[in-house]
Amino acid sequence: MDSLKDLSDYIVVLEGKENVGTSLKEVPAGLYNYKDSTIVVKENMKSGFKIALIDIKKGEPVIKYGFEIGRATTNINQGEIVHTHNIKGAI
Amino acid sequence: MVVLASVSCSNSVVQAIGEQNPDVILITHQHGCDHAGADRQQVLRTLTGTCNNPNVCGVLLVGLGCEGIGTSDIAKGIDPRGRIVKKLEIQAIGDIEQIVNNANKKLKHIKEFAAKQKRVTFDINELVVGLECGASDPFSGITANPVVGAVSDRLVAQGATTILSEIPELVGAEPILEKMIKDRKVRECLFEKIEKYVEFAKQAGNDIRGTNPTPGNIASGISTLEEKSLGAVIKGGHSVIIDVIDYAKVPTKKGLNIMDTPGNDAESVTGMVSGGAVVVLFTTGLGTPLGNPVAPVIKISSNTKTYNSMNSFIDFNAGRIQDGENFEAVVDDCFDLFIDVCNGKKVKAEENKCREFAINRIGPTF
Repeated sequence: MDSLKDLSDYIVVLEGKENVGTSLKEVPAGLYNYKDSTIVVKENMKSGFKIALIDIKKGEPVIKYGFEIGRATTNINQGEIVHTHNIKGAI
Repeated sequence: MVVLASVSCSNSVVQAIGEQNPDVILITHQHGCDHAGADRQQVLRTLTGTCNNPNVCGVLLVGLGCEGIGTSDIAKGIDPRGRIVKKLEIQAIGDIEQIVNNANKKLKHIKEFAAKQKRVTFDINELVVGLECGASDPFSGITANPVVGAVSDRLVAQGATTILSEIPELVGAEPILEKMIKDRKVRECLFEKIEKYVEFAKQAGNDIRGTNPTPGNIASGISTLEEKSLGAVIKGGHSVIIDVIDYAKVPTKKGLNIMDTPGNDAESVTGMVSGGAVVVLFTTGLGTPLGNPVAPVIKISSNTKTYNSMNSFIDFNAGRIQDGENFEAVVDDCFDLFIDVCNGKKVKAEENKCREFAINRIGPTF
């Protein structure tokens, strides 16, 4: 069995500070190692987009680089892309 | 060693002096006369502040004689400690050859004074550092700006002063900025300054809040206005914002300050250096040569492609993060380069003699 790619090679996360990672390059959908576990990337991601690193409930803050950038407008599952369809800013 | 035109009418004479003195730094500009009120104060403050920057040990002020902001006005505000200041008036001398001879004599004194300067060691907590981004791309907020933020945090933790700027880029970041500011007065002052730019834009027919993030931003992954502004705010790292200061003002409190500057790179960097920034950390996605006459501007690319194609102008590649390198390791290297520059290593902007100088104006020229 081929060994899994590590999602850390594809995304940037400031340690302990966020619930989304931002992709640095294209991330093909599939199963990845991440930290001590695995994550299923639900769909192909372009670079510069965000992926949920854990489940985020509707109304919870979305945290990037240690700052809240908006709230989830629906329940978001780990591995899903976080973008205008499921996050809303305060303005 | 600087030759500074007090008014735009002196510019060509300054250039002529420079031809015979290639080892001095020439500063010419488009201002110096027919300003009023707070605008005049800001222009004067920027010119004086440039001379007061700790990197400057000698100044020859070249005035016309009748201008609104004269050499004496500027000289009055220059701290003479550790610095030599000389003046000449074009109208008082008259003949171009005599003017240049007069300048050469005065510059000789300045050069002798400069030659006697010795390097001494001082603590990081004496540093004032400007933070800037220009010619950004979608990676600026993801690689280079967080690296600069981490460097800023390290400097602030050691007692230094860093300056975040470019107020128009902070529009929409109020929820984020609120959490970084402890003092209510500072918060109100900052939000007032942000609102001022929103109003300026409205008057010019541009609704910043309503049209951001733009379709282009959304297509490149930015989901909310806060996120777009976060890309800029993160240059300041996670330190508390201790104060908000006017353009070209010297920070009075150590730590992370925000200076009221526009997004225009030349005006913003000029403002921070006039406020005493001795080095500037400047991130760029598409690349820009922009420098400053009296402070080294360290260029940090957000991606490796630009680092390679614009290598003549870029000092450090934060695009290494995109290539898979560990974030903290890249921050370590960037910090090391920063210290090297403080200790005398020249940056590309200096080697290429990129000395852009632009004063932010807040009133009409009469």
